[in-house]
Amino acid sequence: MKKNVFVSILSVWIFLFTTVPSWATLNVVTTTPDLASIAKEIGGTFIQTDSLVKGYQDAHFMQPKPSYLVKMNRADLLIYQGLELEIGWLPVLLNGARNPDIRPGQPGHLNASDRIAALEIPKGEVDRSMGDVHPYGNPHYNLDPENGFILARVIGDKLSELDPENASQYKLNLDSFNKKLQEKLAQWKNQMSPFQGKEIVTYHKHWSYFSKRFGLSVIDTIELKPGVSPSVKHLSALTETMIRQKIKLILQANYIDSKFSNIVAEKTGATVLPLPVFVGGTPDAKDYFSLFDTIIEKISHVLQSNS
Amino acid sequence: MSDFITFMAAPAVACLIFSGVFTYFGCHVLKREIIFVDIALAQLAALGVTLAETIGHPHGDAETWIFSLLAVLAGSVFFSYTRRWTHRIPQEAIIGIVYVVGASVALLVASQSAHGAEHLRSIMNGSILWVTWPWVGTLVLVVMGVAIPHWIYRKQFWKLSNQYRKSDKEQTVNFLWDFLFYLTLGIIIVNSIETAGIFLIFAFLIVPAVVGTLFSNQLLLQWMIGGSVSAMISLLGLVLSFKLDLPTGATLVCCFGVVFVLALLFSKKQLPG
Repeated sequence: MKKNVFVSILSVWIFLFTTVPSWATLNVVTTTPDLASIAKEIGGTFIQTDSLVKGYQDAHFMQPKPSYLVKMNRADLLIYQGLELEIGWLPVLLNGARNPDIRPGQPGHLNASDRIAALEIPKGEVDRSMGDVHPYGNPHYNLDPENGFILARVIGDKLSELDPENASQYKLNLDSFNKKLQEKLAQWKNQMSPFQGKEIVTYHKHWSYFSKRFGLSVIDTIELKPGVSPSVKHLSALTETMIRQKIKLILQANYIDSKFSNIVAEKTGATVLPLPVFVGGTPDAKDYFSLFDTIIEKISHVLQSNS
Repeated sequence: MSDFITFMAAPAVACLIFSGVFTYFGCHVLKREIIFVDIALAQLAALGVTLAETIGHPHGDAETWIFSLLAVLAGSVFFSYTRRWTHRIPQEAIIGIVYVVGASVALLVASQSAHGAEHLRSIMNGSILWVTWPWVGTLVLVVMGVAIPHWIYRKQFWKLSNQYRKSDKEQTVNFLWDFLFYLTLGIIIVNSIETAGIFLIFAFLIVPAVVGTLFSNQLLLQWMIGGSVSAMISLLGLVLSFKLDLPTGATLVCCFGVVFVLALLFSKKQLPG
């Protein structure tokens, strides 16, 4: 008798540990947390989202962990940022995940950049001497909140396609997301309006979309090529320009070493401002909305005290 | 568990092959006291890849492979040739110089290349996790190609490593055997480093050979002890990395580190004979 009880308890445990709770209809894996945040807003309780990159990590490079393979293997839908942001690791990961549903060309494979108007697409023939050129343009489009509308629509369409039963709910969620983003956008633009045309310097080309949307003007970047230290010649020319044009703000993603930015800041009296570039980059950037709340509050704070 | 088998079977087989082949080379490398030769050769291979990337037009894997092989070939000639100075300067110094200069030239080249330092990073960041079955197939072929001459001429190779620190006679003969030794090691490294990463390959090369040497004086025994320890530890590392979801390469290297300390504790300071 006792043995029977033991066996049944054991089998319950085995059952619990071997089956994945599956009340969520769709298993969505995204590369970046911004995509996961938007997908969560649209999919609500019908989907389960998981982002491979954490907000405080560099999405260009990833330390491969076994769980990425498992997550990708179980995914019904893969959403990635595209424009070659994940070129260094996503193809190998897709290969290793052994999941035919999310391979390129399958319905479960969504390149979120499909309908994004990319900035900085190299014109004419791409010459290899031009440096680190993304042939499809700058991949950091998530930092323009207007692109949030496009992302939400693309993701909403895809969810409805994969799960037509709940399409009406996705439509409702999409509408309320759009409404909220509309309101927020007006508020952010308002906050940034005193700083139209302000000249700034950034470390990497993370901030092109953001600056264009909110009327900042990026004069130059600290780095010349990702992964290669900026040359002395470049830094000293940059310092001169910054002093001449009285540029007082250097923006950079908070996971980047601020060594070089600090050197320039010391010589020019500028402020180095490390900011989250993805949801989860700092604890208060909890979702796509609070990400911009955080960024804009910090930038306007520094620009205000500078002027 | 089924997930483990789905994702880790190919890496596990690769680990077993690495255990055999790198422990063998490791014993030689230890005997010759040229511990960092693999890192220097790997750096030259990386330099070759970066050069191919910069000079070349869109290229295939074969072209990259040939470039890194050429770089390793040059390194092999250089290491064998500079042997004749090693009674005055330690060979580790030569290896170190090749490493730092190779790394810096690669950086200079990378600064002119479209993809910056991506390739250099990939050499550091390679992961055994990405190993696929076709890759394991290639590895088996390469290892067989290297193992056959090493088996046929095992006496010459071992004699050479054994007397490496003593003989400076018969230089021309030695040059050829040295060159073959570096070249075969280089070929294995070129084929494994981009997937497994530089730290893991170093651990596979040195730690098992050290453990084997702690327990025996004979090459065959050293190889067998080191090889089986290496096989067990790397499999354990894979399981740990999977269960705890830790970066695979780093987990394996740390497991090797633990085994090294344990081996120190359990071995005698002096071997009989």
